[in-house]
Amino acid sequence: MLKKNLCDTSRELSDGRISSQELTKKCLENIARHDNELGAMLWLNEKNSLNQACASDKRRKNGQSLGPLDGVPIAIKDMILSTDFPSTAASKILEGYVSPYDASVVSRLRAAGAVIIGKTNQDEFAMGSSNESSAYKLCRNPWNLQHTPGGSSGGSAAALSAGMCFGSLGTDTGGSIRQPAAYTGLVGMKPSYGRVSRFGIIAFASSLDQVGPFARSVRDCALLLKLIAGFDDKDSTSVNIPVPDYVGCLNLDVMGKKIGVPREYFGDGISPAVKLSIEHTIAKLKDGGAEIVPILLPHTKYAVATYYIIATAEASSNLSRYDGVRYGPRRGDAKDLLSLYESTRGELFGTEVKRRIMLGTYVLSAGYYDAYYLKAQKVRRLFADDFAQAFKHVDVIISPTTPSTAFRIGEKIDDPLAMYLNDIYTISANLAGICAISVPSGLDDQGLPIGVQLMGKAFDEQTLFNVAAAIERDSHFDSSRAIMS
Amino acid sequence: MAFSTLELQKIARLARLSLSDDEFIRLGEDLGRIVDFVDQLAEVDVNGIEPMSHAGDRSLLFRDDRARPGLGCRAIESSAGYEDGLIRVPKIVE
Repeated sequence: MLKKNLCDTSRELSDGRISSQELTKKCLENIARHDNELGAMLWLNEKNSLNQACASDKRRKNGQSLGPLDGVPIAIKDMILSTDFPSTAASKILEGYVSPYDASVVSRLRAAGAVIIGKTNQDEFAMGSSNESSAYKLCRNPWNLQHTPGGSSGGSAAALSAGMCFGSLGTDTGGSIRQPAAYTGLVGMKPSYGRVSRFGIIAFASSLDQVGPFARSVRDCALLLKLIAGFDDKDSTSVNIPVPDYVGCLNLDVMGKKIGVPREYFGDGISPAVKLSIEHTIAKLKDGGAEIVPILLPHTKYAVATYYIIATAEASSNLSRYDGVRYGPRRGDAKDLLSLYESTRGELFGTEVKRRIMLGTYVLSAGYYDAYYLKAQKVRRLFADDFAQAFKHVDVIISPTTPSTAFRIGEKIDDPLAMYLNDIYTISANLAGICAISVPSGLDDQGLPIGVQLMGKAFDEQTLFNVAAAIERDSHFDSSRAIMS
Repeated sequence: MAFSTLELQKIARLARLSLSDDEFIRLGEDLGRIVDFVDQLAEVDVNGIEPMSHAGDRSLLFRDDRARPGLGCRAIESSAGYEDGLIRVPKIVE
């Protein structure tokens, strides 16, 4: 039952072959059995999830189904506010915090009848690429428990890959959906900036953050994006343009599609297995009639530096709200406000968060603002210009999602720069605000999944789904192989 | 580049972070390496380039200026200092 993808499960619910209560119980049993070892889930509310499932079964029985997601268990990242679970961003500074309102994406899931099965583990405030900076517990990769699931949305990826839900939501500021999707054999999409509401998402870097889906198939991913995407007047950066019927418009024919291959993404640092798999994928697309076009994205080598200035600057501002006054626990001398601020933040933020707040504060401080922050904002425009130029000639751009497959737990945690460089291929899409997807393309010689990234023009997610679906068909990848049961 | 203790203390004070001596040493080393790395942007020519603060640079949308129901005190109930619809904080005026 847990091995089925979302669309098939939805069909079985609709046909009455299974009930939402059965599905929800199965997911919760799987969590109870395996999550001590896996560490994918942070917060559960079994009674509430089962009540949602019961309500869904009643709706279906009365012919009042809310649609394909009605009764399907979905997990959400802890960055996403929900009234029936704590929302901590995997940080001690928000320990015990329960939001008085739902994020807009959660309201949409509820309106579609989804059963929210739990909140997933992540890097603290989404700052990390391995899930190792969670303040609560380690999360492991179900494909090999000695390896990380990636990050920062590692828990959403691990939970889905291990069969604890049928779809999940993450957030992606520099690759935090696509990289864990690649590491765990899933499809993961970062939508165009403004496509999905950020209302009720704990902010990390507001000009880069987007919510997006993880799924076990491209079709599932398209279905989930359709449900969460669209204008929201509670988010002033939300864009008011129509959302296509991604599933209905899926077209696997790549004949005549122009696929750009950026030279800069295939240089030093890419593992031979990843390179071979992407080349194989490109060859298959060519066999299908796609035109392969070499392109240049000349500023790629500056992506990580640009990102770590802009993202940390925005984070240092966004995280200033956690001061021991409005949210979460307090530390320090109750008689002195400054001590309250400094002790609460010093004791309750983790190392990586403090490192980034310090860097962000430095690049915004008097005397350094122009040299770092303003400079990075100008370089950021060059990234957008690079993509605009490339998309005059191609429909999508193909690249590896990550330079290697999932690395081992502990391998990079003491070297922040090595960890940051892991995001080299994913960051540019966030800087430019375009959409990007990771789709599995094969396994390396250790049996770990490899992901292909497709980047598309802003708001052209449909073309990404179409080409990704063709890659999925040709790769014969089995996303259910790591399901724990 | 190497950060002096004084510089690190200044940044930590601006960021409202109390750090231990060990953290100052470690963060100082990390920040030095990271700043050396991001210094590569100095070689990029950005003459005449407008800074980009948001993707697409679309103008922000505004809602109609109409009253809507709000959260009221529920918005602050999770504060550790919550008392009767207010948040208790240390004295801020001498």
